[in-house]
Amino acid sequence: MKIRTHEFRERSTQALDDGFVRGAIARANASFQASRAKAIGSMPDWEELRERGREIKHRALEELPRALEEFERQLLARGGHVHWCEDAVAARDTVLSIVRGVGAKLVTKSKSMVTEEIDLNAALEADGVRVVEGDLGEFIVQLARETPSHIIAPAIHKSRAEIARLLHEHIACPIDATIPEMTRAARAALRGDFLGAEVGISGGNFLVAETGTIVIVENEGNARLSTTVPPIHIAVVGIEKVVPRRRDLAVLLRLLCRSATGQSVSSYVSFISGPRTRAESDGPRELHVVLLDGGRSRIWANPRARASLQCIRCGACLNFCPVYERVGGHAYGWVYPGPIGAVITPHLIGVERAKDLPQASSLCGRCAEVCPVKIPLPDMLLDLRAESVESGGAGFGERLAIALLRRVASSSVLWRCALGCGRPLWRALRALGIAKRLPGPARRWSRARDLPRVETPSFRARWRATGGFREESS
Amino acid sequence: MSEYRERLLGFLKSRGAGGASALFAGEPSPAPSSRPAADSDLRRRFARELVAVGGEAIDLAAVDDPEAAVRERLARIGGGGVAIDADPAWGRVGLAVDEIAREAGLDVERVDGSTSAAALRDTALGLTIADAAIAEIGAIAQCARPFRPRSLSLVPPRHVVFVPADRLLPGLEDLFDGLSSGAPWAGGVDGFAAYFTWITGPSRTADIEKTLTIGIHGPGELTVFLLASGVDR
Repeated sequence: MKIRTHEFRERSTQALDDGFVRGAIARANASFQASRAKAIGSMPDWEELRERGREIKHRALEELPRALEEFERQLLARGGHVHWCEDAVAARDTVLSIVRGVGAKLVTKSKSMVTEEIDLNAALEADGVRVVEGDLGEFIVQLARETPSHIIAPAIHKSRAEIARLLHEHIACPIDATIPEMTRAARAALRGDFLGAEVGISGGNFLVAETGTIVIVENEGNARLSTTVPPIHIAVVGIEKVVPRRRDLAVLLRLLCRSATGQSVSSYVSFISGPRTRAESDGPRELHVVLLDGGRSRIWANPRARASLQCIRCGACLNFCPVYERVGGHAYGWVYPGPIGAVITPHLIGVERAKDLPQASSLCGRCAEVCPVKIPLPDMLLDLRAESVESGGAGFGERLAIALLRRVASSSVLWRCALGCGRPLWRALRALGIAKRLPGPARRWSRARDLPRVETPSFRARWRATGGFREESS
Repeated sequence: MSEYRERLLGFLKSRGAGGASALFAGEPSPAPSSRPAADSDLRRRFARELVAVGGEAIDLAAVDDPEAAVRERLARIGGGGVAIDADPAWGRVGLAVDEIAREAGLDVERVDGSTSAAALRDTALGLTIADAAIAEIGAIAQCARPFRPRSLSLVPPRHVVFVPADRLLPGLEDLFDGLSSGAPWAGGVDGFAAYFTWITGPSRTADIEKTLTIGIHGPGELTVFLLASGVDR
């Protein structure tokens, strides 16, 4: 996917002005949050389960080289192929050479963020291959020539009317169709492609070292179609997805589905450990797993960042993030939005190119609270901010402002003095109605905010008058 | 394999990982509270979970005339073709499904693993037996089998599954353990199933404005009959 992380400020500003997107994402988040709460409410040992999920992923990363070797050994023994790719170019070339090798002209794909990461569709299309996204949200986003804006809900930024127009234009669905009618129209339109595809491409939610298994979690059935009907199945998966044992999935699947959609399990979970066996005449005759590093080994080697590779891509940190909720996924400018995106994107594409992303957080900590594998996201955001400042990322104005604040805030005389001057100044700004148009660097802060009212008497005055905490008990 | 394989593994190992063989160390995680006890009412739990996700569960142990119950459900489809796989366990479920389906007004076609997905395109209903079922999540599990097309549970718009009583397992761990220990229901070559799928309710999506819609790429109707008796003993 084209990297536009350096445009975060412009794109988030645009998003804040888009009332529809803000409303849609706020509604989606409220619904995600409610479903998750309901799903984990019936599990008294949810916290224990999270801890076990964390342990499993932590151990898998500790033993990463052995886990990958074992995965490969198992899959090769059952006739699969494993390709090790350093970066997006290598992964793309690997997929292209497999597709070219069989002269395929039609490829169906199931939802995969890693294939967005390596910009696979564009590469296949440039090669004359028709690529059909099977997941409804991905299909919609593909028709609109956009990119997914959420890890598990790709088209969450689009309205029903926009989607109706797209489906009307591309698959002749009636413009006034209801959502179930649109869904049926997409089913009918995609059926022929699913049954005629020569290659199916998927991602993978987990790889199991012990059994050489690719695990795919989905609700629609498109991943099952893409991985069972075409004679060739290619799974593109990041190296961090490997877990040691098949039984570990009992913990991880419970965590993933509840955290993602609030289901106790998704409609379909497929476990693929090889191509069709000799006894079968059904299923892919070739199975390729494309293992992508793409910067993950660099994250792995950084002890303070490694835990970010525990991520199981449930999207819960997005669904609970006040910043993501207001700016939407596209503002982040690359594949992974939200808190996890703000952490892994700088590591994957370079801190320099994505230095604004770690700033896109209020550090409220909800992301870490809901993360099913307990990734300390706020700590990691702070690390990235520190790194950015140390490498000269903070401008002169910012450094001056912080130096001033440090001076003022560490002296009670200066602090009282600043508050004393600030109150009338603040009132004047509001009274003059120029609060939305503060000059200079303050403009960026003020343009999308209403200045709060100055309370009288002030907090400090009330504190003195009531004797502080005693107010409540009196 | 490839030059990058050696470089990556070399790099990871040089950073101190992979020395000890701790990959499979440690006790497997105990099952959490969501897994029902083995001696609890697994049939009721299974049915509750499946119904909660929009599936239909019919306990044949609780009806007077199982044959009539199946016939009545199949008749509701209102005709069309039914594809039934060549599972040898059909001989042990105690129901003449071909005959019941015909009486319900359906055209019966027997299929096996050589039947293509495209051949099932106009089939109204796929009829199968579950290799296993998981009460905790209301799921049925099916391995790839020479006698059953992988797409039989996927391409037709309806799927009706029979779950033998001895294949209903309490939780997720029981399924993985059964697969590892070569339980009688686990298919595959040399006791290893290279492909299996869990199915929990009908195909669904909420990709348009988060509105739940049933039946996108897979079947929009999933009906599970819990059989009163087992087939593996």
